Amino acid sequence: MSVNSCIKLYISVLCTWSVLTTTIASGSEHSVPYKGHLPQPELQGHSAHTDSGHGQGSVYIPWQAIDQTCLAFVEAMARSAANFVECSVRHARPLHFCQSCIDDYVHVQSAYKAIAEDDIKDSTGSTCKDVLLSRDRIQVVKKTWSFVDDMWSKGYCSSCFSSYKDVNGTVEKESSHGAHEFEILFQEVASCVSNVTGGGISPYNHTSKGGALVCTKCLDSYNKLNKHYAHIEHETHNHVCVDLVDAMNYTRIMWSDQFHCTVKSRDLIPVICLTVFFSLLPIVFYIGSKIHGVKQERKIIKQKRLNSSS
Amino acid sequence: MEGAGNENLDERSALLTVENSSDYTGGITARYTLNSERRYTPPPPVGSDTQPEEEQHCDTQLLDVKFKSLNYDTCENTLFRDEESAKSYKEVLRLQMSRWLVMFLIGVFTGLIACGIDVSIKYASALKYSTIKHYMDECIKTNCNSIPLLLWIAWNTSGVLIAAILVVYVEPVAMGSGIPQIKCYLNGVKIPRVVRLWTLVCKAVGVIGSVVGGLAVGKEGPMIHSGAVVAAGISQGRSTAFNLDFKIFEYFRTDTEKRDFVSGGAAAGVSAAFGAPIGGVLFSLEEGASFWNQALTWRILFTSMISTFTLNVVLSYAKGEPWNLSNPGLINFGEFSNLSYDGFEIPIFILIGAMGGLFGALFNHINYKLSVFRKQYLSTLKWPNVLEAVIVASMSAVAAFILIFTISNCRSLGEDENENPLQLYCEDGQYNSMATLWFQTPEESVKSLFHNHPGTYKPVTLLLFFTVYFLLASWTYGLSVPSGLFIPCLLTGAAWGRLVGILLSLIFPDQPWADPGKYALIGAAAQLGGVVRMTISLTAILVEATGDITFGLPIMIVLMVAKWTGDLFNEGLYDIHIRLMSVPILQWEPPPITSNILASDVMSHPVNTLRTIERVGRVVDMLKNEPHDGFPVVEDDSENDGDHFGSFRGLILRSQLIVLLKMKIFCEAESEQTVRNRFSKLKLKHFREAYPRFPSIEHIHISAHERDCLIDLTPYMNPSPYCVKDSASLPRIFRLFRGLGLRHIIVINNHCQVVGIVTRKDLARFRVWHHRGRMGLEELQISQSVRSTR
Repeated sequence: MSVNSCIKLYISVLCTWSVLTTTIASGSEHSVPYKGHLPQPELQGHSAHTDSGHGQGSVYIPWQAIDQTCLAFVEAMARSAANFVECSVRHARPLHFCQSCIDDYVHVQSAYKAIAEDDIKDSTGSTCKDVLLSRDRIQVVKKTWSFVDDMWSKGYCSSCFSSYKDVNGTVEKESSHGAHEFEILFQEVASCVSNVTGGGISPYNHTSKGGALVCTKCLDSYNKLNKHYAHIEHETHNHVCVDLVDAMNYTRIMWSDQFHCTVKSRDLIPVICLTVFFSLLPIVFYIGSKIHGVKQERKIIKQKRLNSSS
Repeated sequence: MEGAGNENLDERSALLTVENSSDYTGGITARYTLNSERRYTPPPPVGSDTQPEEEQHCDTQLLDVKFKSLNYDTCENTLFRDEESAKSYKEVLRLQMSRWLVMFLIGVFTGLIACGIDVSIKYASALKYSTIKHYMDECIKTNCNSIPLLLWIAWNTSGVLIAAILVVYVEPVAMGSGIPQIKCYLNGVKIPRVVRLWTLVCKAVGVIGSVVGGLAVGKEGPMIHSGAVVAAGISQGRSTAFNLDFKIFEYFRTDTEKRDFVSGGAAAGVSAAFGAPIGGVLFSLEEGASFWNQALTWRILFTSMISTFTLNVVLSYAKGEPWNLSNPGLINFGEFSNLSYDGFEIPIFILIGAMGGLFGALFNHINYKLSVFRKQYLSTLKWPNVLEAVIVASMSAVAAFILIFTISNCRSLGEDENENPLQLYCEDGQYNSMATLWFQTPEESVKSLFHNHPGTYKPVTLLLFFTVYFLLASWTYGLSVPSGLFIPCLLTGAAWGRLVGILLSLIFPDQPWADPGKYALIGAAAQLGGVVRMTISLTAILVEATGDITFGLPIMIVLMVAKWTGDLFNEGLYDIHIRLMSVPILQWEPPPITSNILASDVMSHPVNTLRTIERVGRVVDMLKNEPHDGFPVVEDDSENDGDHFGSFRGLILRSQLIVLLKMKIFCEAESEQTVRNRFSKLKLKHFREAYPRFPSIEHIHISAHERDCLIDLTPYMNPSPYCVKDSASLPRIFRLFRGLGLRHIIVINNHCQVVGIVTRKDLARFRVWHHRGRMGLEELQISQSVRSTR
């Protein structure tokens, strides 16, 4: 089973937007970021503007012009943030943005870091940090960074990786052990399911054939995956990288909702018997204590009073 | 009429035999109002033929003879004056410093105990729920569902068994939340054994047992009691339980100082439980307000602050984030994202408050009926109490199990954070949100109801959960286990509040104000207010626990409306339990229109008096034969004509007499002058040493020869105790008593001769009753518990 077909299957199982399927399939190797071929005209215009610095398209106001270095910072930030946003939206469903957009995230991070740590003063004595991060009410750069970072940390994306850093523009990253193992087990399940069903399944086709067969043949790998997932959950104190959470969720939904593989016992007779038994206890207890109980009695003590005693 | 002496013994026992009637179900309550002349008429004597046995008797209409008062008033005898004059200002400063030190220590230890309880409960319940979850997950596949049920029952019963055994066999006063007991203590009633070390141990270990045992209880109420015990222990500088005396803080070994510290300890407990220092101070203020001064309030705020700070620091280490000081209390309600509200919501809040009052009144009524049953049929033997607690524990498990098995409220995993999501009959990748309500400690469930996504719980889930938990909680409170009332009330309230919120969001779709979490908070406040009916302190506690001052107004509105609505039906649950305990508690205000009741109607008469120079034999006999704790000291009682008992000179307490007899401060009869000057070496210190457990008179051996000796009481008695004329009215005496924390007031006539004595029970027996919008005055009887079979 080739890796390629695995990926295809993975997408076919998980994807909800069939329109996007092809785009993602082609982009799933994802070595090239979306530099240069942004589809929307607006973004293109914006990109042209930042490229040219004090652009032809916008109004050039001389007393608001900023230093060339700062301009470079802005440009780096703008490009990387745009890339990250695009990447994450594209990988919103099936959710795979941590692993797909790590490069862009790291780029945004280093671009922001460069601004935030800038301490070279220009002629007026202010740094790019001052100019870009604290000159107005909205603070676009800061807000953009906090949006990016918030998304990253809300998805617990860092737990997908054991390390990642920016080395002169190229991102050196290493998947965490748990995520790596998960990927292998996940593909095992995916290939098993596609083997049995012949690959022609979609997640919302409830009448798919071969369901029962999937349940028996793939049970082992499914259980292994579940077990490993539980292990990751335990290890990360429930802060599991959202890519894995989503993959696991949809695998489970496929397993029980689509193939109806989860068998549950609904034999509740022993439970009902126990319930009846335990429910009788308080009745017996209270009636018993009322009949046989020792009743608390109180004796009135006569008080010494002026009127009643004299 | 013979005023004092051996004859009293016969009179008293005769009275007792007359009244020793086993059938007390009628005729004892004498509910009466003022007659047409607006003059007080005493109720006909009990047991006489004229008394019709028609009024149904109720256990709340008795006072128990065993409760004594604390002595808040300083006894300014000669010894005291000597000690005062020997004091320097340096010593006064030292005393003030040590008061602050004691308050600091109280705060620290209360905080530490709170942490210990919190951490143990956390780990024990984590173990419990993960074990049961393991079997539940397995058994749903392999058809062995009775195993997790039995396991759950086993966990519950074993936890509760520990708690119940500790309470029933070691220290019965550790049962319940302890707030009623502390309330009585701060009111000035000495509840036996309430601030002992063993009580603290039973309380702390027991509350872990009962919370882990899955009962519908919280750990917050017991914290208040624990804080009070810590205060009483530390301020005395010794432990009688371990027979340890550190010889420090000896000056604080009096009722006055101890009670001040106990109010600080209770505040520290509230503050540790809810992260509410101001709420803690206000709690002490509300419950013991008559004895407050600014300096004490300031010290109590200090101890509250220290306690919440200590808890904060230790919990930050326990949670692995050292010095992240954002865990101020055992429970905090978490951060609300959306607590904004509009003016048009206020009528809704008022309605919710009224609902809270109704539910609270219902809760109190159910619990009251149960408590009466428990008091009548279960209180004489010990083991049925343990058995009852265990039965409730197993029923809690069974009810939860049945609910989570029958209701499938499936939600996707990872939507909200759960420690132990249970799948049950949901699909893979989903969890049952009904199960999560039961499958965590009640504190965590409260937070889930406040913060989880609007769609997490279906209305039917909430409705069933509310019904079952409401019944369980009202069944549970009053069992012989340490149990807090706050959390179960908050949880039931949060359940129906959230239900209201969901219904509102169905009626007004897409309105951001109809947030189920916000209404869960409002509902929780309403239910709690409807049950406990506390006023300002509860408001402060809830506002502080919410951590959002802007939401203070809705909480205040809801609490007020809940209290007003609930008060139409019955009293707050703590007050109900105080009545059931038959404690002579003094309310805030004297009963209305009682100014026609005069001291001569209120007081005890005849009085047992002692002479200034008294024969030891007579003192011993009086102590043996009379249960009283204070004896007026008189002179010239020879011309006693039955109306008075001699000229009033002072008041001496039983405890003082015991110490005098024990130290043999008497000598053979010579002239009175020699007696008077012989024992100048006795210091106030000797009285403090014996405090608080003075030996009983039976343990003091007085030989026949010594009985003829003389004892001079003048240097030891209180020469100027508070006294009133026999024409003083009940409200006047009441205010004097309540305001100064007195134990005895002597009633004198125009010639300064003793005619009677008023104690707390004489006043507490006059009580106002409210029922269905009517009110009146009733007189309670003083009683003593005896056991008899049915």
